Amino acid sequence: MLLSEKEARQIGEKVLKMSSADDVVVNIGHTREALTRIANNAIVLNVFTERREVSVSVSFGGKKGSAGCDAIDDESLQAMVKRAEEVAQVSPVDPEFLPSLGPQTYVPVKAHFESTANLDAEGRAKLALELIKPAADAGLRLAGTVEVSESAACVMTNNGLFAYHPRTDAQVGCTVTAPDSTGWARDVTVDIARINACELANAAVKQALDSKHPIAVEPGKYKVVLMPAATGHLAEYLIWWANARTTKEGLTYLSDKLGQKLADDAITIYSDPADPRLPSCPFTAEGLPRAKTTWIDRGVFNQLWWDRWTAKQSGVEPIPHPGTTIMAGTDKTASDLIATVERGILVTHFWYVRSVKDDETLVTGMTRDGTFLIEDGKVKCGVKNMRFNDTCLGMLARATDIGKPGSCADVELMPSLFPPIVVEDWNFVSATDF
Amino acid sequence: MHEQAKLWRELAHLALETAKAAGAEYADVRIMGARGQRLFARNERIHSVDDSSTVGFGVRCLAKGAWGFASSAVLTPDSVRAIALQAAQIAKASAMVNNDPVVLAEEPPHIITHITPRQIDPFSIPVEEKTAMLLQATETMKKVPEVRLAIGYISQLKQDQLYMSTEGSDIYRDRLITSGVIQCQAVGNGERQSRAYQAYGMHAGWEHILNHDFPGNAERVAQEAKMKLFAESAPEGRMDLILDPEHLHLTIHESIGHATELDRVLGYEADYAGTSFATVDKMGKFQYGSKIVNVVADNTTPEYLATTGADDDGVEGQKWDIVREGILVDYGTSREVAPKIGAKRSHGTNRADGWHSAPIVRIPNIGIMPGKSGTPEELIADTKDGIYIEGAGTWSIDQQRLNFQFGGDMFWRIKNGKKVALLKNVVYRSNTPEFWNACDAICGPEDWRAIGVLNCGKGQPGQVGFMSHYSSTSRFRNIEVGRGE
Repeated sequence: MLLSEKEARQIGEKVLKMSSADDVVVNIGHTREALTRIANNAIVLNVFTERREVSVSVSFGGKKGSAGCDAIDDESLQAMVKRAEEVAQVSPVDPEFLPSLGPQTYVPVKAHFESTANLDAEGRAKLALELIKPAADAGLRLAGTVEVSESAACVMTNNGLFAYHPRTDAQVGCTVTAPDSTGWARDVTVDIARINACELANAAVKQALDSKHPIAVEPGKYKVVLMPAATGHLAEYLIWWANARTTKEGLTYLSDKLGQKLADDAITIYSDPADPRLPSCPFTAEGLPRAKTTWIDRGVFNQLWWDRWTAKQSGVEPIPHPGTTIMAGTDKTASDLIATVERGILVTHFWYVRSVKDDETLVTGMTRDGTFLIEDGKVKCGVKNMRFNDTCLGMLARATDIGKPGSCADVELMPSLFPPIVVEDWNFVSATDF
Repeated sequence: MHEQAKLWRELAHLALETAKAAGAEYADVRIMGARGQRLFARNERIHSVDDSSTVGFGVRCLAKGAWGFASSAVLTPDSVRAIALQAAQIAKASAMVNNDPVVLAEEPPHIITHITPRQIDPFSIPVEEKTAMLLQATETMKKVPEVRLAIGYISQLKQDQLYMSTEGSDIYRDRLITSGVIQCQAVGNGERQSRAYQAYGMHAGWEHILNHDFPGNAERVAQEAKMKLFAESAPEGRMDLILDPEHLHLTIHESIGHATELDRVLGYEADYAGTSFATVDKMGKFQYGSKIVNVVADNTTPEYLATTGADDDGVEGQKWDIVREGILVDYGTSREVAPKIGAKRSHGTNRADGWHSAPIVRIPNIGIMPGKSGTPEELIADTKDGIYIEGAGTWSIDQQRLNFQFGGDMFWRIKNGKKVALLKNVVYRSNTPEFWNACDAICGPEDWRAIGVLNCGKGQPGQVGFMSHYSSTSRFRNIEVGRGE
């Protein structure tokens, strides 16, 4: 059973009583997660893990320390509090210390679904079979996952704050391998009933078959259609780097561009913890409220995320880093976008994207699984994967068309909602052998 | 400690007996307790000091040829019974979707107690001494006006683990990993540049941090970051590269370590970390590198991060060749995947990152054996037109581990055997076999050193892996260089 609000409050109150510090913040987390992993059309790993984590941050006159443990018996909690207090007593005074938060108001978020919480190993195996069947029927190999978790997060302070958020998360995804091509699909939400495993597998199988015998194209600048996971992968860097502190220190791309219009009116990126498809926790570990926030408003980059100290120094309200990022779009499908491209490359998703110069938003990475040549508005054939060096900012600045947002998650992309987009002059610098 | 080990053994026996009674053909249990202390300084303040611990256990079962794994932090007999039963039930559910029953490579049972080396217990050092050291380093770096951000970080991780299996193994591990870094970012001349100095992760105690003398190196690190602001831009074109061991560790990790993990070669990672170009049909004949390239895996040297006595399959640590005189000859393996290439025994590279994770094939300690090309200075003197790269920077490689682009931390232009200018923003691009076949010189044992990796990501659910990579400074001919634009 998931840790209830009442149980979380009891643990929090117990820890608060154990500490003699001036200021105390308690975080309690409980997670029950299961993942069924498939490779070569069979389950190769199947795991269940239950974790309870308690941590405490204490302060004596601005001297801070923190400690954590994953047991909730009195002895363990007492030992944790003692360790945090010992650390705090010998730490230097933090010149940026701020007292912990008092009571806050949070956006109501519904994120817990019994369908997800109750999916057991047999249920996951059945979904695994649904994924595998289309690939096996086509004589192809499928690898993928069926993942579900149920969790609770709680924050409590000795200044009267108490916050509790229960949720479930579900992800199903796969990579289908043909002799010389691959296809990929993945979906994410809070309610496993909304994910259609068979549809995902069919999409990945189609990509693998459509991209067979990929041709090599010369590296260079191409018009690209980036599918949602590809768009999201790079756009999220822009939000991550929109850190108020480092921006004010002169270290980010926004240090000299904040408030400027850097992309078309059609480009808007926001976050909303109450989004019905991908709700996120309405508060941070400090208890700061996460509200609906617009980060890029009709092409204008006018919002940073602010820690409490930097916000206070600048006389603004703190705004935490978002939980789920969403890019506004249109009703156009990916096929509608492809139909407008005379010659270009369709990218299903990116792999191993790394910053080359993050103050310029310059990154490198590879295309992966389902990379196609578009000619005369149609997907012509698969192409061998390519490396790009380009800027995340350039991706939005050179976007010429936008489709309908879809939920996406990837190896290095947190669950988010992004549309497919068309981008001019994407800079491919080399190609690989497959 | 004795009492804890006794209690853990009783619980481990209970888990194994419960799993067997529930139908497991094979089962193992790992009980782990860990403590980590992390200190982080940012500019003139200590940002955080955290001291956290974790205790828990995981039970892995094989039933009807399929795996099940369950874990919990509640270490009571009732919880142990329930989790062992759950692991067996999950294994039976896995068997519903299993076309290739798991056959484990034979391994004799081992009774091992493995304690990693250390001289000074880092947890015995007062926190105030550590914070003072970090602040001394960050404040020194901040004295250079161009430095906008200076950070210092120290981490100590102690893990105790008991592994027991239904085959009779009883392996106790007491492991201590120490690491740290100072780094700064400078702004000026229309540029932003960074420079780092690392005490890479190692099985060691506090002496590892002291040996790196962060306060004593802070001024140099800050001045080098400033120098990079005024460095020449990277040239473009093909030229020779001389790469130091601190740089090469990442190249080895990405283009050899991952490429020779047998599970990914066999498709187990196809949906996440990827597959590999180094397919089984290439074993024994593929020219991975030039004849001077000898790649050896070594999970026996105590200081290296993947040396843990035995892996989480209960296989004793080994040393073996991966690439011999340039030819691919072997892989990193587990008891599950080794038989799939006809190997009678696993090389013992199956590791989990905690009690809550099931083990998967991880990169062993792996690196290039020393060559006969003397010192880095001699190698530079022998190079007409090239770039000498120190340290790690940006890195990216395709999912089959072929096409890559790497940067670095310091770059020097070499002309006619001399370092003539500092460069900035250098990247190089190549393809794994092309790159290793372009290796024509490897410095000798006096330059050979190991670098630890503490952030290797792999697996679903995601896990971090720890391993070390060793090499001497080496030269690669005619590699494509650019500015990453």
